[in-house]
Formats: sequence, structure tokens, C-alpha cells
Amino acid sequence: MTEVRLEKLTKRFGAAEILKAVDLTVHSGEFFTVVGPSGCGKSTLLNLVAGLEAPTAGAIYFDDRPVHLLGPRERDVAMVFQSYALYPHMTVYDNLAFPLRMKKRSAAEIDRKVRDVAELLGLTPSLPRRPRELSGGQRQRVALGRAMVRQPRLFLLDEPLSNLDAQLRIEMRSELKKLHQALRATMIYVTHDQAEAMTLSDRIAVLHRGDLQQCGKPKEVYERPANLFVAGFIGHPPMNLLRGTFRLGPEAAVDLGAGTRFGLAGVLRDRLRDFPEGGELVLGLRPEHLRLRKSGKDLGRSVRLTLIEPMGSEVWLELGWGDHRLRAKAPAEFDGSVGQTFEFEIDESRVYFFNADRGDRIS
Amino acid sequence: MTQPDGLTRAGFLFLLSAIVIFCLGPAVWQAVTSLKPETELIRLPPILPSHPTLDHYVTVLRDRSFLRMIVNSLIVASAVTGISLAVGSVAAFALAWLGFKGKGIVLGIALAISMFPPIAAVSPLYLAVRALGLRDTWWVLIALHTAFALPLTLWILTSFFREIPEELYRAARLDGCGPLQAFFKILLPLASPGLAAAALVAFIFSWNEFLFALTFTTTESSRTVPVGIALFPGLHEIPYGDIAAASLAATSPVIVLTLLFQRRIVEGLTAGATKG
Ligand SMILES: Nc1ncnc2c1ncn2[C@@H]1O[C@H](COP(=O)(O)OP(=O)(O)OP(=O)(O)O)[C@@H](O)[C@H]1O
Ligand SMILES: [Mg+2]
Repeated sequence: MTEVRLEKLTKRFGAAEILKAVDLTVHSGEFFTVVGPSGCGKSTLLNLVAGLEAPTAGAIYFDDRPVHLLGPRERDVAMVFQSYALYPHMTVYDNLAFPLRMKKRSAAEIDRKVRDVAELLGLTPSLPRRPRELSGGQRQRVALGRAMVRQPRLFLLDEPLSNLDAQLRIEMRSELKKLHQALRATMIYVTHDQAEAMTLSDRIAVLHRGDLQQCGKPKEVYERPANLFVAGFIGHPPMNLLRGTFRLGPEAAVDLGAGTRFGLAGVLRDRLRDFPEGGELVLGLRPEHLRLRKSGKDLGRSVRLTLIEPMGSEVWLELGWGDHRLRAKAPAEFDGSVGQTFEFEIDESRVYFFNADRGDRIS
Repeated sequence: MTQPDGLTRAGFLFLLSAIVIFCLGPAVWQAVTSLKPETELIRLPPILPSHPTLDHYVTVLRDRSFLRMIVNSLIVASAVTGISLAVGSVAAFALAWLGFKGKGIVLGIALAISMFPPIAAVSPLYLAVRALGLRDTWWVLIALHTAFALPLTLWILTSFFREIPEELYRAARLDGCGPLQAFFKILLPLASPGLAAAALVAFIFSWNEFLFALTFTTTESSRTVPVGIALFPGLHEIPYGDIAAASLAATSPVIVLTLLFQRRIVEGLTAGATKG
């Protein structure tokens, strides 16, 4: 159980700044996820914490002890790599035993621990086999087992599920969660899959081009995205983001161009009271929050259904709203056909506004 | 992949057999010659021996000076191989893994050295070797052969090390290995096909090398096989049968070595390391 604190952690490769002064605290025993698109610096962050790369600037603390000058061996962290990185010339048993052998543990202790971990992960029958004879899921387990066997103070997991097929992935996802509950160890998990991040984590950090965008509980990040990037990244399908101009006049509205307006009554108007008239903003509407009604009074929110995508338990809809395109989610029973016109509704509390220039959320 | 049609396959087979005949022809001819009794050697047309005999082999293998040359060659080639692998693998590890500046230059220089025509270096080397009093020793051949074999092994090993996924090295470091332990326990075993290939190249190079061996050896105490066979012809006759038998006897260690290493080289060892 270790608390990990990053202070102004910066990494450059040549001129490219891969991590930009990241400040972050991972609490002891937490399942913490770093999420972000490919190439945003997630693996680099883990490598820095593990001691496989040296930071350009900034510091790393484990329980208030600076560790960024220590080598990987002294930090006592274990890592599950993006590619598993099993030792191909060794059997599963030897792979699992390797970290213990490096620590010069007694043969009896090694044997006991290896068998315990193998039992826990269902690998006992695979112990005498080589990695190339294993399925993807089994390899993934061996990689996990090799990390677990020496009971490190910190687990780092770099997209360990990314190459598994969808079903195995969901299975392993819940196994990981159970494992964390059983071990109660601090885990830093890296993924570009926001669904994984949301379901697994106590807290998540969203990284974009080496910049920390937001850090918080999954629900917080989903409900109160700090900026446009987070709003567009967290949520599936992503939030509808529509750029427009704030107009007061007799009826306050966001003017979305070409005669499309999003009327702002009462509370919504209040939320924008400090925003300058004529200012550019981005309106954010989550697909799952849009409700469609066949007819009713026209509030300037009539949309035309242009596409229906059945997803099994629900349907995804694509709607034309003036020049804009909206995505919406509806229950599987949704009854409508392409070309029909609907009115959409949304709770006022679920409407987001963002500053169009700086990207930060308003109020 | 699509199945090749019959015509393509026939063409391919034809080409393959042509190459095999071209390459193996002289060796087969040599083998046939080595089995012919003296009287049949220069008979025309040159056909298969009517009374095959092992006489030439007996003569050659009874010859103490020939055996001495085999031993010389074995010692020189083994030393060259050993040094090239030991130095080459550590250097290749550094070049491939410990990312330092100027590795491109180092590899470029290595390539340039291995391409350098030996004939251009022979005269200055001769003066230097004579001054050092190293003429007619194993050492001079070991040193010179290593100078040419080492760059080759360095190239081969660097490319093999590069094939190993970097995450394996990182995993080893996290599992408690220092850089050298990671090298010996993980990288070296995984590069063993490369080691086998490099060993073979170094050994064969040294075993076959003629120019330096001819220039720097004067007696049979250090003379190697290629030079020895070349000096077989006597004043009045050329013992074709003995030369053929000696050549085959001298080739056999290389063939045995190749067969031993061949499987190592062909089999891919890193399979299963990653998700792929
Ligand atoms: N050793 C290196 N030298 C130069 N650039 C590097 C190096 N390692 C990583 N980078 C660059 O840093 C950026 C971030 O890489 P990183 O591997 O951390 O991304 P990531 O978020 O893990 O992406 P992915 O989801 O694809 O794994 C990339 O643009 C990459 O090209
Ligand atoms: Mg990565």
C-alpha cells in the first residue's frame, strides 16, 4: 500500500514535450486509471513511475519518499506491459518464478508462491508450458501473475486488456477488479478505453497531449467534465458539441447559425449571466440525455431522424438539427423511421456550456 | 497467400535445381575424385570410379603435418569465433539497447572495416607483424581474423537484438535485473539464433581465410588448412586424389557445425512473448 505523488513531472524526448508538468496524487490502495487517446503519454507516465525512464524535470514520491532518482529495482513496483512481455524461452512456471529468483528467495518459498498465484489465476495446468503455447487470455494472466507473485508495493498496468477479444476483455475486467479488492494494493492502470476506465476505477485522470485535463471519480468526470476535451472523450457515443453565439434579446438563446437556436429559459439563462452577449460558446448535450417526442409545441428543437443503429439493448440515432448533426440514444423499443420529425427535450441540469476559445466549462 | 500454379512451381523447381547443381557440382566432383584410385584419376572420359578406394583418405589422415594443420585451423577459428561472439554480443547489446549517440557511425565504421580489401593491408601488416616478432604464430591469425569477423558478428547480432521486443528488457529490469543480468538472462538466450548465425559466419570466415594465413605462416607449426592444401602439389606431380580427400576432410567440421546450428538459426525464439 503506497501513496504515489507526482510533482510537476515533465518528460521530453528531444524537442517533443511528452508530459507537461503533471501533478497527480494516487491514494494508497486506490485503483487509479490514467485515460487518454493513443500517444498522449500514458505509457511514458508509467515508465517514469517504474523508473524505466528518467524524468526531464519534476519529482515522484512514494509515501513522501522521493524515488525518481532510484533505479527500477529499488522502487519495488511491478508492471504488466502493453504487450505482456513474457519471457518466451521460459515456461510459465519459470516466468512466474523469475522475479522471486532475482530476489534470491529459497526454492521452497518460490515454489509455494508460484503455485499459489497459478492457482488463483487458473494457470496451474499451464505451468509447464511456454508462452507461445498459450491463448491470449492465458498470456495476460501470466503477465498479471508475474506482477503479483512478489507482492510489490505498487502495480502498474499498461493497457493489459487491449488485444483481447471483446468478451474476454469484459471477463478479465471484472477479474481485475476482484483482484484489486483481494490484494488492496495501489494500482495505476492505463487505457485509452474510457469504458474500462469508468467501470474499474476509484478515480481517473484524463490525459491529453501530455497535459492533465481532469482528475476525479469517474462519476464526477462524467457529470462535470472540466473542458471540451474531457466532454468529448468521456461518454460513448461522445457528447454532442455545437458551437454557437450567445444572444440575449427578448428571448435568450444560443444561436447555432442558419436559423437554429437553442432557447435559454430560466435556469439556463441564469447560468450564463456572466457570459458576454455575442460571445462564442459550445453547447454540450449527451446523447443519452436527449429524449425524443413525436409531436408537441415547437420550441425550435425539431430534428429529423437520419439514421438508426440498433445496438441490441438500445438504439443509437443520428438526427439533423438545422445544419448540425446530433447523436441520441434510445431504448431498444424505439419506434420511428428515417425521415420522421421529432422534438427533443433535455433536462436543464444536463445541458453543458463551454468557453469556445479556452475550452473550459462555464459554471 | 495464393497457391502458385503448376507452371510457376515447375519454373521454381527448375531454378532451384540449377542453383543446387551449380553450387554442389564442384563438391560432388571433388568427392568422386577423392575415391578414385591413382590409375583412374586422369583417365578420359572422367567417369565414376570402377574401383572406389579410401586410399587417399588414409594417406592424408596418416600425414602428421596435415593433422597438425587441422588442429591449427581449429584453434584459430575457435578462438576467432569465441572472441568475436564475446566482444560482439556485448557491443551489439550496447548498440541496440543502451541508446547512445553515434551508434550509426559505429556500425558504419564496422561495416567499412569488414568490407576493407585485405590485400591492401597485407604489406604494412607484414612489416608490423615482423617487427612484433609474431610471424608464424596462432596469435597473428587470431588477431587479424577477428578484426574482420568481429564487425560481421556485430552487424548480425545488433540486428538480432533489435528484433527482441524492448518491453522484455524493461520487464526484466522491473523484475529485479540490473542491465547486465537482463542481458545474460533474457536477451542473450533470445538472441541465440543470432549467436549461432554469427558463430557460423565467424568460424567459416576464419576457416577459409587464405591471404593472411599464407602471408604470416611459414611452417606447419601455425599453417592452416587452406594454405596447407594449396602447398600440396609437389615438384613433379600434383596429387589430385590426396588434395580432394584433404579438401573434403577439411570441409567436414564446417558442415557438422552448420548442421548443428542450423535449427537454432531457423527457429524463431521470441514467439509468444507478446500478444501478436
Ligand atoms: N523513446 C522515445 N523517443 C521519442 N519519442 C518517444 C519515445 N517514447 C515515446 N515517444 C513519443 O511519446 C509520445 C507518447 O508515447 P506513449 O507511448 O507514452 O503514448 P501512449 O499514451 O502510451 O499511447 P498508446 O495508447 O498508443 O500506447 C508518442 O508520440 C511517442 O511517439
Ligand atoms: Mg502506451
